[in-house]
Amino acid sequence: MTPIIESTSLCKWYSQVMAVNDISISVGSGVTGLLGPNGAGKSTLLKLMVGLLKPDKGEIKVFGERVWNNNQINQRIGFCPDLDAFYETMTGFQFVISLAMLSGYSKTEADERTMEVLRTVDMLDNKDKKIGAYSKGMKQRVKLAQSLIHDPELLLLDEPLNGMDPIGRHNTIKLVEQLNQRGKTIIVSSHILHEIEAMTDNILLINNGRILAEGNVHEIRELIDKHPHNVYINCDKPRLLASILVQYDDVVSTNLSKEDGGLIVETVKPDELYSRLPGIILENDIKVENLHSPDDNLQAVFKYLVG
Amino acid sequence: MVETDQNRQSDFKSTALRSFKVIFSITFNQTIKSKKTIFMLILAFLPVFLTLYYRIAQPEHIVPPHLVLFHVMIFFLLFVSILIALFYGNAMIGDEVDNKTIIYYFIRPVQKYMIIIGKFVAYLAGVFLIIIPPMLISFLIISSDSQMSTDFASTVDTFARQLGVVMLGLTVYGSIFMFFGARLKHPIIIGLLLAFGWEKIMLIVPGLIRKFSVAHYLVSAFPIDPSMQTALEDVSKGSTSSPITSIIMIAIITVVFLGLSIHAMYNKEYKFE
Repeated sequence: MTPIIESTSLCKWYSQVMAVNDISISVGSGVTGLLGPNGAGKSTLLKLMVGLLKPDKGEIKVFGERVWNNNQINQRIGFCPDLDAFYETMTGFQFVISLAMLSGYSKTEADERTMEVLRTVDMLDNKDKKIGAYSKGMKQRVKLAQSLIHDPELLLLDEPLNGMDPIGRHNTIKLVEQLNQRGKTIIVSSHILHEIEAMTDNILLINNGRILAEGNVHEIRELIDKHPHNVYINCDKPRLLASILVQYDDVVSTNLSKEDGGLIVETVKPDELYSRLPGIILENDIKVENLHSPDDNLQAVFKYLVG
Repeated sequence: MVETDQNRQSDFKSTALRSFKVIFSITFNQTIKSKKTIFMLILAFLPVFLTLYYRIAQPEHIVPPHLVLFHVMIFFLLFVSILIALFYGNAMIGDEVDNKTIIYYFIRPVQKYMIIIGKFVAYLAGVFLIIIPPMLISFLIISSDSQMSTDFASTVDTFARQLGVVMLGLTVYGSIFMFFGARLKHPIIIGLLLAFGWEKIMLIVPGLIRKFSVAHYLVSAFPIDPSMQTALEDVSKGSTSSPITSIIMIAIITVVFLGLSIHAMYNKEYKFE
């Protein structure tokens, strides 16, 4: 089967920095997650796919055609950039309908399509407000709407869940599922593993401009689970909390931070720790001020994978 | 087969026309609604306030009205229009790049040359709307003075042609500054150096080198009342090209810089990091 996207020894650099380093991939239909920490090269790779950037070396083809300066292929590609870029004095409706007409729809068709797409992304109620007054989540949804307006065969979504509230995230994930069922090819990028997991099993792992791995997300998850996670908890009873948590098999160790006395919990199953914590905190009347995991993005995992 | 080719050509024309209309509409609205428009309107109406003041506060006509009119029109030609062209011309592409909104054009099935053409025509519509009213009002305020020439028809004719040259100035400078916005990293600085450095210097140096400036051709094409010939020679240093040659050169420069803008758009990578 002909791949939708194919790259051969693809390279792109910005001055001294190699943003994409010798990437040869073949992406077929379905949903593919592009997973990597910030600065890994995800956005650069997506921009190469949509023809916003020109390869410095190698080549990339979409639907069998080169994309740089090939504006006609844009009819088949929808791109949702990670950048926050809008005509702030336009309303959401005006913004999307203008881009619909630029995609080739007549005024009447564009009007109908815009209403339909804004309904899909749940922006109908706010369509007549100026974009400048939108929240980050609303802006994200309008960006998504413009990528869908011309019903493209291929969707490239760069961090589409950024800035969205939980309902927005849930709806967007469902939308990706529906679009996949309708036969669209989708590439969605993120630096958060569980976001990608919710949308697809098939991922490309990227770091420092290189593809580290491709395949099933569950295999990646198993790798992460083998690597202990540190979770930092700042609370009023760290010793009590430590003594409770250390009884669980998945907790490897607990330590008090020398800087501020916060509790650092090392666990091989962070998801179980997170689901267990609220109950423990309530039962023991522990006040938690701050909770985060320095390992909860992919940087630590990549350090572990790359060695 | 012929029918299919005709349908294809017809589809292409209607798509190209639709793209042009949308690009024009977006750009024109952004131009008019932009914050710089207030500043540009104040600048453009400054001569109006000056001419009003002249009419109200100069009963003795120390300075004859036709001389005032000449200098006001030269002020529009060599200062106001260049500044308007600089900020709006650069904004056509430069602002879209700075605000990263140009991405939305590039990810649509729109020919890049159409982006330039659509934006340039929108720029012209916007800047003509800004400059024509204050020029007209200034002219009417001064020309209503009883000391002006009795041949009003001739005065109107001269004004109409002066307005035409100012519009030509906005067109040619707009094309140059649009290219700067499309190609250069610091287009406003380079534009200021051109507009108030090179162009102004070329107006005060004699000889052939003057022909390497746009201002030379604009001043050469600028029609004046014969009584103002001496005042014009002060501006032109006695060195002018014929009006026809000047208009042709202005047209050529405009086309060349529009072509360069299109070339820049096809070859430059706009990186949004």
